Amino acid sequence: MSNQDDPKTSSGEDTSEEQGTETAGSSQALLTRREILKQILQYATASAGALALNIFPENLHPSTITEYRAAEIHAEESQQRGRRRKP
Amino acid sequence: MEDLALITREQTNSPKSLRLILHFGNGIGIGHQVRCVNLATSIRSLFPATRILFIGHTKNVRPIVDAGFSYVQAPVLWNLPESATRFANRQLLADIIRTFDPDIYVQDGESDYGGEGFFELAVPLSTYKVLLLVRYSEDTMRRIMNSQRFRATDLVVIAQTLDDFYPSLYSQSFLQEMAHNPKIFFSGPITRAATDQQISAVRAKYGLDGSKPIILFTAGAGGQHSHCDHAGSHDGEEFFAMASHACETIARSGLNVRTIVVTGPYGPIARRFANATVITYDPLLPAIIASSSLIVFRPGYNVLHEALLAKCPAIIVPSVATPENQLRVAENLALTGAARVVPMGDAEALFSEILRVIQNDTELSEMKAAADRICVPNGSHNAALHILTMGQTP
Repeated sequence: MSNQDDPKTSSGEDTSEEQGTETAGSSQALLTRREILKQILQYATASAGALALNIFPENLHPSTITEYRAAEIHAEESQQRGRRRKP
Repeated sequence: MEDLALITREQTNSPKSLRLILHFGNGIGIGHQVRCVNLATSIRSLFPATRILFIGHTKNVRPIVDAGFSYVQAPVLWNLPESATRFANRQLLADIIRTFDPDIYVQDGESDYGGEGFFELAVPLSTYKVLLLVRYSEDTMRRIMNSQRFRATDLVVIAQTLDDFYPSLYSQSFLQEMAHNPKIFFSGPITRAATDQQISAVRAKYGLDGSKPIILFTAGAGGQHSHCDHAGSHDGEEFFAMASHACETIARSGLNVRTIVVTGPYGPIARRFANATVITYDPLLPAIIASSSLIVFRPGYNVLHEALLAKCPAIIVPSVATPENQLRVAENLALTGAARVVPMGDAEALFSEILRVIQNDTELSEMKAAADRICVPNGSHNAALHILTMGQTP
């Protein structure tokens, strides 16, 4: 007997209800560095509740990247100044 | 830049509870994530008050969401568009870890997923640091054990035993070295077994009424990242091409069986699976395995242990380019009688083997019995207990 007439099967159609969850939280507001760390701290210390943070670049507020860029440039400049001072 | 010291835990006046971070990377599917979820589930059952935070670099965090854990989902660091963003992201992750201030930090995998030097530099000195590994080859293990990351680690949990069905992979001297290293703990597989309730649930959901033998095709719950194969291998695509061919041939042959294909959530898999029930992702994959008469699978760590725990007769199609040497694992399993092996790419051989095995009740029973003999008990509880006990010891 073939399973061709089995009503529970299909020609490759997706019967699962569970679809993949890509970029969960992508609808959340753009995140500043302060907001991210505030949420982390709240989660770390709260007695209940959950946390779902998506820090893909498109979910970060531009200031978050800018802040770290500034820090990186500052660190590089300090390093170069340190090198120049060396005898 | 704003001083982060302005945000301190003391400001909240909250009592300190045990805090734990699980940090995992991106693999072929979602195996690293599933292993971490299994471990976290055991930790939560032992110590429900633990605040657990996942940091993951996978595109899909469904297992974490389904299990009700909290997470930070971060991009795969080396895929970011420019170095400045990569730097920013790395620093942001470091800030997150320092702010959360975990008592225990667990990083899963052979590579440092925060980027080179992240483990030893970004995690606070006072945090108890755990590496979660499987038995990689001796070369890989030696590289790990000679790394700064290993020196900064307090505990290495290897989610296997040394005397299971896996190939030994190690020289006698290295075995001794590992056995006597006080940092290393072999917990047994960190896996999951289906409960009777879960088995009933998937049987009802997919109409598995026991009227026909069920053949399940899967590369694990996560399936395959199209862009993330090892060493340029196309084994992921090849496996599903073989599954597609098998479904087609089974349908044409008139064999009275039910076929199910679990593709993983990263699809679409550009294949047609004739007459098959196609499932992208189901958190209850172990229950689907336990409901099956035969499983045809690519033997990643999780699905391999899930199949053995379910004592499901198996046909293994090993990838050739994986760190855990799937081919040798499959050959070892075949020697025990628990599985048959078909080479990747040989679709005709797969169909012949399916046809031969599924129609032979005696052989199916013997394969079940062999799986029962070699199956290693779930080590999740062991690992969780060891991490919690050691991590709370000053």
